[in-house]
Amino acid sequence: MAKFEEIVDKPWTQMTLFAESIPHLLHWDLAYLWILEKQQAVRPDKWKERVEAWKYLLSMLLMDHLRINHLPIDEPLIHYTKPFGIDSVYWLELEGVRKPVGVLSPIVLVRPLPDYKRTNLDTWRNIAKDPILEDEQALRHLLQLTANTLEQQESSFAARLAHCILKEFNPAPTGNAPNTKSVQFSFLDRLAWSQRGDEPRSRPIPLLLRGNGGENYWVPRCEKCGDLLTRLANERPIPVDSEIVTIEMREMSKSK
Amino acid sequence: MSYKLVCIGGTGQMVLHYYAQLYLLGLIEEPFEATVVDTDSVIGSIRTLRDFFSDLQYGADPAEGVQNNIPVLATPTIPIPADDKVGKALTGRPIEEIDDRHSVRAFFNEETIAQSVNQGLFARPALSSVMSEEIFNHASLAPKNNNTTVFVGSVIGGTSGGLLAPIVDAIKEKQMLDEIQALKMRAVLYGRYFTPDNNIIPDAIKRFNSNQLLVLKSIKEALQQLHSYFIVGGTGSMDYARDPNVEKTARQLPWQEENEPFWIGSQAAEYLLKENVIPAATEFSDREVAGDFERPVSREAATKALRQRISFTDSFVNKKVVHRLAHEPWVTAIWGNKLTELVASFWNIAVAAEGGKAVSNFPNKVSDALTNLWNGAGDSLGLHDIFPPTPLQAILPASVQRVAWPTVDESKSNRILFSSADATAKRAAATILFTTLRKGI
Repeated sequence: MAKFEEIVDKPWTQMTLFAESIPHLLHWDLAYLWILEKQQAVRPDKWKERVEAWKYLLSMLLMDHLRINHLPIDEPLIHYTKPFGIDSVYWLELEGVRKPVGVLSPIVLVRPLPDYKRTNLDTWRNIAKDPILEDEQALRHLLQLTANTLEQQESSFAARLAHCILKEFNPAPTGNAPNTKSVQFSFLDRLAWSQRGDEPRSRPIPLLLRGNGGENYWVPRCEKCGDLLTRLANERPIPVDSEIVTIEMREMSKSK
Repeated sequence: MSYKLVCIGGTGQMVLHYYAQLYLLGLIEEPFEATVVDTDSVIGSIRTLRDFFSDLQYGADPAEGVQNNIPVLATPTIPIPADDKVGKALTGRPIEEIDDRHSVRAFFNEETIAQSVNQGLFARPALSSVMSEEIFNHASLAPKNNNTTVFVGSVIGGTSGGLLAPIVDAIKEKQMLDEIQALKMRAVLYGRYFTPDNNIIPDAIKRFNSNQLLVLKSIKEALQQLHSYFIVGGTGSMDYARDPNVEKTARQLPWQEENEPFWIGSQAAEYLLKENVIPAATEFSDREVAGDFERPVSREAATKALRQRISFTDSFVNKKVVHRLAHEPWVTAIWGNKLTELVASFWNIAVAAEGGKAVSNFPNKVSDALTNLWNGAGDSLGLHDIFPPTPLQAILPASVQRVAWPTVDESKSNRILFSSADATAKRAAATILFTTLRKGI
C-alpha cells in the first residue's frame, strides 16, 4: 500500500483530529464534511458528539426553528477572509440561548461553532426538542427534498453533502409533506485559497424549509381538463423520488 | 526546460541545503531556481548560498552567469503581524474584548485566538494559510513556460503544512491567468520523520499526526494538478534527531546517510525535477512515487567529488593562486591561458567601472574576495562552511590549467552590476569559486 493511502485511509477512530490542521479558513467546515464522509465505525471518537450537534442543527434549520442572523465581517478580519470569497457570517440562533449555536456553512450547510462544548447539545435539546422526536415525518420529508436538490448541483460540495445527509438520516419520502418555503443558501464550488478574477466562489442553491402555511401556494392543474389536482387528507401519499412527480387525478375529478 | 524548487519551512530549507551542495559539486548538471518560504528566519547556509548565486550574475538576467546559466535563490519574507496574539492580529482588539458575536468566532476556536502569533503559525496550518496570504503572489513564485517545479516541505508542521497547498493553488491560478504552458508540478512531502518536542508545542505529537493526515487530505482534495509526489517518513519508524539550533546556521553539517530524511529528500527532489516518463495518473494515490526510485546521485560518487572539489578549491583560495598569477612572469605556462584570460577580462571591466583608471591591485582584490567568500567574514558563513568537514587531498598546481575555465564575453556584462573595482573583484571571485567547485580537478 502506498504511504498516502496508509496515512489517510486508515481508520480515524483513535486519532485526535484538530480542525485547525486543515490549511484553510473553512477548516471547521471541511473537517465536518470529511468526518461525515467517513463510515461511522471509523470516525474519531471525539467527533461523535459534534456530528450529533450537526445533525441537530441541520434538523432545526430545515424545520425553521433557527433564526439566521447575517453579520458583515469588518476590518481587519475581512482582509483575511476576502481571499476565500467570504465577506459575512450567518449566525444560527436558537431562542432561549444567549450565544449563537452555530453558523451557516458553504460546505456542510450548518455547523456548530469552533468552541462547541460537550454539554451544548443537551442544553439545546432541553430548550428545543430535537425535531426528529417532535415531527419525524416532516423532517424526513424535508431531508429527502434537501438531499434531492443538493445531489443535482454542480458544486461538488453540495453533492457530497447530499450523500452525507442520506447516510446519516436515511430519510424517506412521506405523504405528509409539510408546508414549505424556499430559502437560498450559498455553497462553495471548489476548495481554493485565492480569488480567480471575478468568478464567484460559491453558488446559491434554493432549499425548502418548513413554512408556516400562511403563504400563497400554487396548486397544479390537470393539463387536459384544467381541474385543480387537490387531494383529500386521508388519501394515499404521492411517492416523490425524483424531480418528476406523477399526480393521478382523483376519481371525482375524472368523472366530470 | 527550466527547473524550480519551492522549499517551504525548515524542512524545505534543509533539503535545499543538501541539494545545493550536490549542484555546486557538479553532481547535478542543470541550474535551478529556488524560492524559500518560511515564517521563521532563513538558515545561515541558505543566506550564504543566496548571496553567492547573486554574485555570480553577469548579464541582464539574474540567471545569466559568465558563460552559462546559474542558479537563482529567492528568500521572500512572510510578513508576520506584530501583534502578540492571533486574536489581536485578526480582529484588531485585545483578546479579552472579542465578544461571543465577533465574526472571528465563526472560524477559530478560543485556543487558537489566544495563541501567540509565532507559536500559532508553528502548529496550526489553518492559521498560516490564512495569515500568510501576501506571500502567495510573490514574484519569485510566478510560474514559467516549460518548467518543472518541485515543492518541498513537511505536512506535519504549521508553516509548511499551512502554506504548501495555498502556494500550489496560487501558482496554478497564475498559470491559468497568464496562459502558462507546459508547467509540471510535483512535490516532496515530509510526513512524521522526527519526534517533536512537547515542551515547545503542547500535544505536539497529536498535533503533528493530525496535521499529517489532514494536510495530505487537503492536498488530495485541492491539488489535482500535482503530477506526482514522494512522501518521506510518515509511516514506520523514521525518527531522525533534529537540532534546531544547529540547523539555524547549518555550518559544516555532516552529510546524512543514504537512508536519512534530508538526503532522501534531496534525491527525490532531483528525481522529480528531471523525471519525464511517469504518465499522469487520474487517481491521486496512484501519483505517489515509490521509495525505490533510482537515486540520481550516488553517495559514493558524491563523497569522492566532495573531497576532490573541496581540496581543489581550498588549495586554490588559501594558496592565493590569483595573487601569485599576477606576479608570475611565466603566467600562462604555469596557470594556463583560460584562467589568465578570465582574470584579465574582469580586470578590464574593473578599469571601465573606475572610469578608465588603472586598477593595479585588481588581482589582490580578487584574491581577498576569494578568501572572504570561501572562508566567510564576521558572522557570515563562507562557502566552505556550507560543506561538511572533509579530509583534504594534495592538489598539484598543474591541475589548475586543466580546469574548464569559462570564457568572459565583456560585451555581455551588465554594467549596473559592475559599479566599482571591488564589486567586479567580488563577482570575479564568485565565478572562479563556482568553477573550482563544479569543475575542479
